[in-house]
Amino acid sequence: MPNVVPNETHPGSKGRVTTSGVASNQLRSFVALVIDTLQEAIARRMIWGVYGASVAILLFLAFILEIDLVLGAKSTINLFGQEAMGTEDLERLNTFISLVQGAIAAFLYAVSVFVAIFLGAGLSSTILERGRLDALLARPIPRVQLLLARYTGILLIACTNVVLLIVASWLILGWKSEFWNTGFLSAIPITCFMIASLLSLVMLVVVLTGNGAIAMIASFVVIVFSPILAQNELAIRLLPSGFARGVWHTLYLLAPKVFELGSLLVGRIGGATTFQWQPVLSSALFAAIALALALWRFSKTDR
Amino acid sequence: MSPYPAIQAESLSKTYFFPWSRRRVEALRDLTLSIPAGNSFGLLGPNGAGKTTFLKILLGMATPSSGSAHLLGQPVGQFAARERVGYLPEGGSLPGYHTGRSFLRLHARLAGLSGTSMESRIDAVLEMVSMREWQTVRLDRYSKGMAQRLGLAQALLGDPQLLVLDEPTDGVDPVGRALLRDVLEGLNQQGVTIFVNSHILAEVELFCRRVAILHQGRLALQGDVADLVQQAGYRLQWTSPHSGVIPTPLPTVGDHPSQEPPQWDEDRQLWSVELPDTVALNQAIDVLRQQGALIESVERAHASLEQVFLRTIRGVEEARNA
Repeated sequence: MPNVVPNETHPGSKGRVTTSGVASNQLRSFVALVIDTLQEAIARRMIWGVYGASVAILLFLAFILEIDLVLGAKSTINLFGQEAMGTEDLERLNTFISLVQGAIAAFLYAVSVFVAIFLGAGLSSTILERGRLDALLARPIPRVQLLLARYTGILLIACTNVVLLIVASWLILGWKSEFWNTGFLSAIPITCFMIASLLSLVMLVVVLTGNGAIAMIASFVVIVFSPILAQNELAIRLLPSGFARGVWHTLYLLAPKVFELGSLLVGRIGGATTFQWQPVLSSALFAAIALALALWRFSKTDR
Repeated sequence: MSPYPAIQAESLSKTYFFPWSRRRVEALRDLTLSIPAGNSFGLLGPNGAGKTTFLKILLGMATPSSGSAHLLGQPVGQFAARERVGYLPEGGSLPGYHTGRSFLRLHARLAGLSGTSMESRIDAVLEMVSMREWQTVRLDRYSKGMAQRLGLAQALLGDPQLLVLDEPTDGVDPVGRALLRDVLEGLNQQGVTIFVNSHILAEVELFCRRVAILHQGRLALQGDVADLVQQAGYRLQWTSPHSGVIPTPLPTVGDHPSQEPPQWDEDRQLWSVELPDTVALNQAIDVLRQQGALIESVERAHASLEQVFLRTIRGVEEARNA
């Protein structure tokens, strides 16, 4: 029979640790690991790459809007001999600007998602490096926390970038067009939500394969197939066999709705009053399952 | 010092199963081992002997297939078991984007330290491994020896009662090795248990008072280093009147078939042979004296740990083949 400590108090500990003390330690560890992710992103210049790209996009937007879109729209209206704009013309201009804003939001949505995947694949695989991971696993912290903190850190960087990009774009658009469309800001939660969903997939693939490149490819496959799967109703009508229809429909239900959420976003900026929750809920379910599987696998695998 | 054994393994087994190739590998087989607190212990074994698997089970990185293990009285796998354990992984692989200090801050927070106590503990461990002047330098600029020293500092952050070191002197120059040895000796004198997993047998011999040899997942031998290296008996040295010629009757002396033949030392112009016991020694002296040889010296023979290791591995292999 092994000679073991008879009660829960560790012989070397300086006293009984309370539940709140343990929770506080766990929180401190979690924050330390999130900060570690940020430090790595800064030191590897990934964060500067992300924010640098965003600043470049913003400068480009400011330049384009100045020359082509707003002034161009105004000159088009002037071309029809209506110097002083009436209410109807203003509405037409607002609709046009909403369309432009929708296109810009869709572009920013796509760019932000791609950037987040690059970031996620680069930062999630490094934590699994041998030696580095061993030293972390030997610490008295749950394995789940290691992975969750990394996920949170990556999400934090990606979402901060989204907020910067969308808010600055909104300011530029409003300043240039004098049309302050608050619907444009709904791009922030929708884009962040989709990034969270796809990052869950990145984490799962990295945990399963240990390879960031494969995780990136898997995410791009999901994005590329998203508009195709979105034609679910048409496909179900056209597919000949019940089996093929079943496979298609299952894939449609399981996959994150990258394309549909993008379409929802454009519609919302265009003034759509209804919002379809099905793509949001199924994408949330996908994210929850992928992340739960990644955490489960990471905590159970022998390292 | 902990009243419980630092490490205790009871009938520990670990089998890896590879589903793609449908292959099973028994990495550990029924290993029972107890290391008292305050000891300095070396775990030896050829590649694939199960050393790393054992270490990973102890640190909660792998789960045993059967049996149990405890660290300082706590079942492995529980956080409490790792609270008072410091670990230096093999090869280091430190994250290059950290400076020495920021790396230690991360691990100090994970060890439950914070505020001024954290900063003073970091200062103390940097001082212990003589790395204070390098604390602001990024880790990707460290030499391998510096990385090992910082790795040791990381392992010491939580004021451990048990220090687990995986190949601690791998890639470290002689000066760095001497420093590590001094630090570990000092810690051991303060009651910290040192557990070393190493291929460098001479280092283990210097660091550790007790060793175990694992082979094919089983415990092949364990004992105090001093006892193990002394069990070789006597070394007899003589000069022969027939220089360079082996005295013919000697190899059969003592009836020990595994005895090595006499060795000729060209530099010192001496013959020498190792004899297992006093009977063999006296028989050899009688034979040599009859041949007119001059006995130069008789001393207690000390096998190196490497010789003990190789002899043990060979013994296990021979027993298995038989």
